[in-house]
Amino acid sequence: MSKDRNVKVSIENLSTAFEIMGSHYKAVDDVTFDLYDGEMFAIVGESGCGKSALALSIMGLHDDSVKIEGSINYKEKDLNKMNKEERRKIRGFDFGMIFQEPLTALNPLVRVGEQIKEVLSIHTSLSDSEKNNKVLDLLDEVGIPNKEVVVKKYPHELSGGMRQRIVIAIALACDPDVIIADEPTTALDVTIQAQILKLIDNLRIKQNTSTILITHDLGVVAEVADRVAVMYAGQIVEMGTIDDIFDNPMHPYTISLLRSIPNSDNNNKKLYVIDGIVPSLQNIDRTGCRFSERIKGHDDSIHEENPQLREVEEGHFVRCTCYKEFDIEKSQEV
Amino acid sequence: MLEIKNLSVHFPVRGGILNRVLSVVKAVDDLSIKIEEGEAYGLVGESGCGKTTTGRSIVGLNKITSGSIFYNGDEITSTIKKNNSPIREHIQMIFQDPYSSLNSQKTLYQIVAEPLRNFGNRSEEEIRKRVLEMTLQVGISEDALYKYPHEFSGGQRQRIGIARALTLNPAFIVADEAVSALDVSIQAQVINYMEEMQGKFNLTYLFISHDLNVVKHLCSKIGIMHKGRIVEEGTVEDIFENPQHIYTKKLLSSIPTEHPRDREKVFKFRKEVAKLHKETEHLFYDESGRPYDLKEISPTHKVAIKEVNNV
Repeated sequence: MSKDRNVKVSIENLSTAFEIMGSHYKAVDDVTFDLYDGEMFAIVGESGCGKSALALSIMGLHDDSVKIEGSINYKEKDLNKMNKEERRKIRGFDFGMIFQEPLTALNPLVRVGEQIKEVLSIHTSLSDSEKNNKVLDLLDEVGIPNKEVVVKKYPHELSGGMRQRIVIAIALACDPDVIIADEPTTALDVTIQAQILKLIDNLRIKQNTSTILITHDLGVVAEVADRVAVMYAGQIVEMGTIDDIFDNPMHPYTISLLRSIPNSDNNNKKLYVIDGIVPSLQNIDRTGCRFSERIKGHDDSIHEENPQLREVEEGHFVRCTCYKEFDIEKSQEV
Repeated sequence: MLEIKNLSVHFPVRGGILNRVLSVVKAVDDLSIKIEEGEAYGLVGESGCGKTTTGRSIVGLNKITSGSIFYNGDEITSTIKKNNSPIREHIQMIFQDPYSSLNSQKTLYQIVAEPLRNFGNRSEEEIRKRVLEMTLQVGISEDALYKYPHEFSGGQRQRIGIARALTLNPAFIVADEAVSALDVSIQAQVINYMEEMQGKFNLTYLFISHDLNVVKHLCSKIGIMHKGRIVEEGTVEDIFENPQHIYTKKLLSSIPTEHPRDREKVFKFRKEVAKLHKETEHLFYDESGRPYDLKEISPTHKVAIKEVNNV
């Protein structure tokens, strides 16, 4: 399905290294993927796997102490080679970002209407009244009732769901080409979560925006994603279409994640527990299969040295050779 | 075993220059719950529905406006608030956030030993034995006894919180969003532990959560809470297979899709529920928007509805 679609952003060998006690450690380690036109691409994994660090690298929001290598190709340019000023023009205009916690993403001292207007002032040359009209249109688009009243409110006067709609309106202000949504519904109630996901999905369909959705919640992925990348310890361990991941998961980490959430299949059973913890940045073994120490009951020979991400079926990528031998029942028993 | 009768908790809203009470927020509004021994009761609702306030009222962390709480037939409404009340040995709480609910200045040993020091006259030797027993019980090894909370992972911390809650051998546990802040793999671990402990110590749980899948996994009885009141109560089957209240249906319809193949089905269900909500709201809420009192529709199943024959 992906062959006939255009690549919008191409990420090649992207690494993001944080400085800890004088040395740099890669939180994102050699990540490569293409984002196609108008698709919802989900990146899923537990905390500490590098998914937020990846999002901030694509947006160019890390500070100078963070070392970013590799390329982020967009419209025949490498964003990673741009200077700060050029990068700033792209951010907010071509690339919009939706943050996790709407209360901290908004300025508490500025009325929400002004905050949306600010983005328009930076990136467009609209007149004041044009900007005001655009703000009201945006509020319409994200489904805010009584928009004339809401523009004059401060963030704390709005509910969590309304605040997240404002954050989305800011991300959409300049009709971005790409949206990066980092855990956009994690701080919200389930009843509102469904509405916000639907909203993000509708905007994508209407404007052909490509969206990178970062989440730890496989339910959110099942609900809206077209393609999925599963990240573990800084690397993509499996990538494929939504059906590949849910109907034919291959990497032991993907299989384990799917088995550890309560659902209708395991209602009266014990949940599968992944042994051990996500390694901290300094403790990642960067030569072998990074998930190997959390697999029980299997021989070490099932892994390869310097595991590669290989295309095992059309469009379905898996890292390391261990998926061939992995049996979750065996890992559970020990 | 535990019974809440007509519990109301109102918070005053103050304002103006004299800081007068302008109005009250009815966080919990005339709520009654009965929890049988050995049962895991799931209290479910959105943020702001009053579920945490209800839990905190049981363990005496909240001022109660009116109503009473009974434990094995004895009224404990006022005794539970006293620091050294013996009833506190029987009722314990597990908190939501394993990062803020453990004192960062204390070692694992001190944290788990604290309840033992507060109740009864145990020798240092007895305390040591009990602490060791409890930490091993939740899967933390002996050499970790003198570590501080920041040296543990999120899952381990939550298990320390469980060890602390269980060290006095309580019979009743209030678990407030005990697994919500955890990553899925750690969440699975803690859910398994809570189930195991329930069997081992014959615990009774009040499990407060917004996550219907987790509640379905752990609990035998479920109460759905909205606007400070229980709007529907029943067994897992009653709630999931035969939901009656419009709010229960709304919650069920908003559970994220389990598998991508169900997308269309779930979206359709959401649309139907939204339509039904408009048409039938008046059957479930009075003119002021307050849910009606619970009415029995089967021996296990109660719904807050105007007339029983509306079902």
